[in-house]
Amino acid sequence: MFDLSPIWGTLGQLARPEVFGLMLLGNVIGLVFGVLPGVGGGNAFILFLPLTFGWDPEVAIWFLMGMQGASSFGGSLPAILIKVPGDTVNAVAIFDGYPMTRRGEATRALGIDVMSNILGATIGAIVVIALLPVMRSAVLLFGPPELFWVAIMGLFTIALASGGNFLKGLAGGAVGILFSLIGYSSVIGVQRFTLGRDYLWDGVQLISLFIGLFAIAQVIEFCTAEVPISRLTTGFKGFEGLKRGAIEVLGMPGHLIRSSAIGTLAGIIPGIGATASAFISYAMAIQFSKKKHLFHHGNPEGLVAANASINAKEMGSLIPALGFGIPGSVEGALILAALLFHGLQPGPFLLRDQPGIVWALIVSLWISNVFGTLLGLFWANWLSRLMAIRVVYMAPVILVSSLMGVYLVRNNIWDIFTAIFFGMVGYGLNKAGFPVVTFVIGFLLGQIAEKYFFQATQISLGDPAVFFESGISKSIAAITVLMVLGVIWSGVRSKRAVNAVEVAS
Amino acid sequence: MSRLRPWVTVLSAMALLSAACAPSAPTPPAPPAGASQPAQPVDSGPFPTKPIEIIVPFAPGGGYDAVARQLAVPLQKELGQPVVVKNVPGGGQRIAARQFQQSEPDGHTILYGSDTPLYTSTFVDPAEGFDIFSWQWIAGIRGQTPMVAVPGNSPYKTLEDVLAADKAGKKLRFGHNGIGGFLPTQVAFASAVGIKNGVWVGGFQGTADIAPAFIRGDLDIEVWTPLSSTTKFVESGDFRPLAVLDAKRSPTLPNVPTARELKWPGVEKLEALGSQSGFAAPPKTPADRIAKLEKATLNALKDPDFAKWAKDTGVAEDLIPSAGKDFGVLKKAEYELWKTLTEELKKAVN
Repeated sequence: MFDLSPIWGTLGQLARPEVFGLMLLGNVIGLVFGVLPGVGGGNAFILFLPLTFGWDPEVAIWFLMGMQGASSFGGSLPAILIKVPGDTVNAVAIFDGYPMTRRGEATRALGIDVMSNILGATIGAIVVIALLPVMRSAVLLFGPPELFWVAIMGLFTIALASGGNFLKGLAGGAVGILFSLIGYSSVIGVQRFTLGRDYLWDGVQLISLFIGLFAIAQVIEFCTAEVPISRLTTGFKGFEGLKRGAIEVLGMPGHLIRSSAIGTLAGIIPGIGATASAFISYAMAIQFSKKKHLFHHGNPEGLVAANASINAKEMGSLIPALGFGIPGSVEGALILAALLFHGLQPGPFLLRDQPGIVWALIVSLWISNVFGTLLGLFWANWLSRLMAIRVVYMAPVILVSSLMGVYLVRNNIWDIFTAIFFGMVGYGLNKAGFPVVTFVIGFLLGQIAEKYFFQATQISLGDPAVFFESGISKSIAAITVLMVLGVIWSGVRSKRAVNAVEVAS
Repeated sequence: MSRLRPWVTVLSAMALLSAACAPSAPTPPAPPAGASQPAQPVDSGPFPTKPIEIIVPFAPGGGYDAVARQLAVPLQKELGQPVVVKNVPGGGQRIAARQFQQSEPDGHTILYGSDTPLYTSTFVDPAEGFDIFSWQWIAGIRGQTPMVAVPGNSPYKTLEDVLAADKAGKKLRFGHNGIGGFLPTQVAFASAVGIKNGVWVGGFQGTADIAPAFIRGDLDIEVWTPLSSTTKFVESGDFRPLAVLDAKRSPTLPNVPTARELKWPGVEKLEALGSQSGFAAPPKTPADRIAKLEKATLNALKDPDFAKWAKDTGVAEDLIPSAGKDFGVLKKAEYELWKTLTEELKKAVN
């Protein structure tokens, strides 16, 4: 085992008023940027990074991680309260968070949100610290064959996430996969469905797709139904609901640990992404739950699965950044950018040469997750009043701010048009009863599965045995098969139950 | 209901706020009052009269972005106007290239990018809406020396080992991220040294995910550009460098021989593989403004703060401050070399 004492030294920095103050400031900025649809925490990070020129690097890290840690909680607030995700990762929080809000249980949902955020980050932090001595081997365990299986497993969760309508779920997933194929594929060196436009060379932008499917579709929904989100205004005051929700989370350690593990792993292995891991974690929660039918109707378990995995993922993404100096994900890329800006050379020797920086990153990201979430809580109580606002006021604000967020990412006007297009797609899917979840899972994982399939076969020079070489490949393949059998079995059982009921009546 | 209106106002205000900061990320501090630029009588009037925008064709957070943002600070001291970085990623740099081509040629918009992958890509996919040869070079900034390496635990110790394996029919796997990325360099290298059995493994994003695959042993050999992005892996023993593709040894890796020292075949071609990045202005930008930008850029590269940052991050090793004219000549020669590879590239792509 290695020396854990630097943790206390790093925590001690919080006693410095400027460090503590800047972290809280970072939290506030992260929350605001997180809440605004489309304007994710990553944007805040990039915007404020140049501000930290000339600061002591460790102080700068506290400030920047303060933003990073708070933004995903910020983004879950509008997802739960008005069905508009603050960022792509927060879309999963909608599925069960928003129905709770409609039932008048907004504060309970927020309580669950807070607790699962904090605990997800904490479990992630523990795993990251435990893995520090072996972090390089952990990253190298996953190559194209292993990642192929992860993607396939994720795609099979479409069956779980269809919410009863399997055929429609499958169709949605297939269309999602088709959309993911748009763009230049460097594996096979061709452009697909790009219509001769360079704009489509990079494929459909994730943020445009999500803002469209969720925020814009919801704006259309608002405009066609002139009612406030929830007329039930009980529970606005006091922390009773919050407390209840928070305690509820402690009662589901299974969901908490599984979701955090999925999240942390997705952070460690580059190539899957935070959003996909949140969806996989959600689908897995359905599989393991005893209350399957309650998902999509305000099941607290779904909310826990979504949030815990997101925050654990943030911690996990530190591993490739610290172990190799390579960005495993968007979050990792931002952290590397921050190190580079402060004249630190990220790479295999960072832990040896700059242990202070490594510990500052880990501890500050974890602490700011905790503080940012608690800080957000005070605000959340106020924000939960939003849902009583008449939609004529709400819809335009959401529309403008989310389209602006989309534009901000790449300064490309076509990203806005894409978002509007997917807004109509999302509205159409909802109206026709196709689950948006499966569309999104197909979109997120279809192309990934294809890419790793090609890479694995190219690397093995065409030998298909590559997919069953490592223990990890075999295990994930086995889990996938078991999952499919489980779905079939539960389908058979419920059909029998229905038949039995019919016979009885 | 009415008591909720303030919230609407607050939300709108937040929306406006983020709109205000939106397009160009860092709002630099106001230039020091009276930053001394002696007013010279020039043909095209006073310049600069408004903020200068540097288009970076890559996403925020990468090496290009970092250099541009660090240079922006001394540049604005030199020019007396704010200098902002605008990231226009995507389309294999083509989106940025087109936007740059169409921007006002008044010196207030400049481009910082690596054009080599961009123009090699035009051999396979014709350029639309931009013409690299119409660009006017302001100054050369960074030279990117390539290095040839095999994984740390590879059976190959020298290029001769690699070539012998190739001759014996062994397939040699190179990783790449497409025609607008590292593929042309790999193909050109294989063609120059005479590797016949190259396998081009695509689908990577860049150095970030090629490196782990390489260390795992999923790939056999790779040309890494720039060398500075991978020196850390040489130090850690993850990579075994075979040679540096430059006329002289790199100060970062003084123990690694050059291809010339090792008498590798096709050495002239190999040494031309490195790409260079610099600032460019759109066609028809007045010459006096280009001269002013050139001087400011070369001065900014000497700025002590920038120099310190460059030294700490290893970027300093790559810096090649050079006048716009010399840089342009260099680019032209490079283009001619790449053009001779068009057929091989087309074959590798499919």
